[in-house]
Amino acid sequence: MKHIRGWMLGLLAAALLIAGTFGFIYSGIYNIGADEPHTRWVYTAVETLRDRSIAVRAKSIAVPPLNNSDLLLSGGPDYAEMCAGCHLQPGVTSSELRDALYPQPPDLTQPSSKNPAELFWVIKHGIKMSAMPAWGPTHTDERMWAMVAFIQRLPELTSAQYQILTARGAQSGEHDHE
Amino acid sequence: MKTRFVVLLSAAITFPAFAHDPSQHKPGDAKNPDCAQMQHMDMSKMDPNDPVMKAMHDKCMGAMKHDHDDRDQAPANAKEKSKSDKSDAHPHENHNTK
Repeated sequence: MKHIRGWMLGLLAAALLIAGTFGFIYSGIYNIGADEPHTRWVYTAVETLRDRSIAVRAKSIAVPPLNNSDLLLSGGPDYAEMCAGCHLQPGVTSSELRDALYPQPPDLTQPSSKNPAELFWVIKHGIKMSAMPAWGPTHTDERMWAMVAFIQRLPELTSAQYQILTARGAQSGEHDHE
Repeated sequence: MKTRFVVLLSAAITFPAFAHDPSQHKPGDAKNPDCAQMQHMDMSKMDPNDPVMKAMHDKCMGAMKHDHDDRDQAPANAKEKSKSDKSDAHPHENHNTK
């Protein structure tokens, strides 16, 4: 009898928990606006989920050699055109778009906590419910690895070096005289 | 449902700012590297084998080659034009008559 009672109480608690969860979600009580930060525990939970999801999926990615000037020449202009608006560049500490986003995109002019495989995974697959796009469908792996190579060196670049490496005009061997 | 709509609407508004097909790059809008800045860099502190150094060198050598080729092309083009203008006269004679 006691066993059955305990089992029923457990079932009742589970039902209340599920109902309470759906009720909370459907009620609209939680503010989803980007201009109000998550509560601390929600932010910690979501951030942990994000980082663990990336780490687990990036674990099996084989990182090619990235210490290559050709990769910097390819990744630099792509970074300037696709990433700098949110992730900044040397000499630029904020942007209107970046300041308005929540979560705020990481400042890639500072050393990243992510390893190259994780950076590649994020560039390729994006991050749900954030402004980070999935560039995989429109870019080859080679192009994305080039961006990773550039991001790895970005924290040490001066503004002048950044301008030279990211300028897409008049590159060696690419100019068409026609 | 409302949340999904908000997310889709946000994506529709912000995606044009991010969507970037490499084939849409327009050479005419491309900025040239400011290679003059390399003169202000302390090269003695830089490793010539460093990929950053090599990349800047490649980029700026390419830019300089482009400028040289343009200057070389200008008199060559003028020569070709004067040749095609006259049927049997020597190009130098054409220049002297002008």
